[in-house]
Amino acid sequence: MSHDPFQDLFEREIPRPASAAATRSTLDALAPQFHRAKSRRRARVSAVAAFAVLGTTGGAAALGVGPVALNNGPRADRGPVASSGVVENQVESTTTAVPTSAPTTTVTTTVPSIVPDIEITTTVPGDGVTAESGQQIDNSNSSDVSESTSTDSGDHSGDSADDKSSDKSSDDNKTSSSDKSDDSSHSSDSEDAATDPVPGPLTKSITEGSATVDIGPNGLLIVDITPSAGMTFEVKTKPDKIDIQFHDLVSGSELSDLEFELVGNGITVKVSHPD
Amino acid sequence: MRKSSDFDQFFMDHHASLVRSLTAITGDAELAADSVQDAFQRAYLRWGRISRYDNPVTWVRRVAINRSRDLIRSDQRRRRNEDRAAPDEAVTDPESESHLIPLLRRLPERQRVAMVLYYLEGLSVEQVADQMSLSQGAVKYHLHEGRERLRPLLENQENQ
Repeated sequence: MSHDPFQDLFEREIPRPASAAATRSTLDALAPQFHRAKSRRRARVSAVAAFAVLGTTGGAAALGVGPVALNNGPRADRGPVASSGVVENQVESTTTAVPTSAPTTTVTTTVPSIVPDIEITTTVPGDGVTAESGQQIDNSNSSDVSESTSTDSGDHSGDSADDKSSDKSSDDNKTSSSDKSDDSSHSSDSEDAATDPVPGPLTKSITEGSATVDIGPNGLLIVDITPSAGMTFEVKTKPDKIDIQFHDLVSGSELSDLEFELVGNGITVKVSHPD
Repeated sequence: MRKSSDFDQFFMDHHASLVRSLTAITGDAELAADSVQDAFQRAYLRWGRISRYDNPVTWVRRVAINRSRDLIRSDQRRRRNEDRAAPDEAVTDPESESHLIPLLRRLPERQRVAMVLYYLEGLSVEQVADQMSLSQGAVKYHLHEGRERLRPLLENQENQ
């Protein structure tokens, strides 16, 4: 190539690139624009999230006023439920009340926006009832629960993506590793296969922040997002399948700065920074 | 801060050469600068991920080329071009200095892109193939065709 006259032609005829000083000047000029773009992007996805969470659980809860329980209520019989969005404000630890007939899962998390390691531990203080594979737990009380834990009935939950399938999760039938949760292991290993409702682990990605995962009164997964500006998420659940994806809602690309691992039936969740 | 400085260095290393290449590909220095700027902005927004790629500049270059294509297709952009004020100080007007760029614009896009990446950026055939998502054989074909089309155009220009 070095002796090809075309190379000399291109070198000679195409205007020389800008100097380092000019490039530095360009960078200095563009830097504020890049920062603004990042801010706008965060604001934009936040707006999307606010809508999604409002529609799902009630805006007050979504904005940090109280616990957030997604995908509650009678939507279980409608198949996969999906929510998507981003939470901008810090939501504190979430405890989801459930009827005694359903597995009571308390999800506790303290997650600053950016930390090297994030752990979410869960316990199951209920009566041990768990969702069976592909089967929903009796949700006779679910409406009450839904109303009591949300500021609206949750009828809007996942409207935009109800028809989406959670196909990824079905392939991730791996061994669970509930290493951080005191009571979590019993839910998947020691009980018979019929009470192990969700294959796992599933590894998904998020950026900053974290999420709590809970089993709702219908056997549905409840996912709460501990917010961080710009964090976006998409959650798809149904009793026998879980698929969690965290996306940049603007670009559609999957985010991957933090590894999010969901193990078993949502009892143990570990979020850790790859570093 | 580390990420930011990494990005700054990445920008310093590649911005000028990408603008130059896009200028050769598009024949429009300002459009090239806009396309490269957009590509770098997108890279900046995703720098945590992009920076882990084996060759981030490949991603930026691809985005810039795609972006330039979008801009060229845009009638709105063409109208803006007509009303455009003087070009950016950092960007030269290629048409006024280059005899080659007008000729390159008469080549099909793939030939033009392949030749610019190969001759101007100095990428290997393999790298060009990767950049253009083509086979190496296809890249060689486009380089050959580009040369064959360009030669008579250059000769005609010299005779004028």
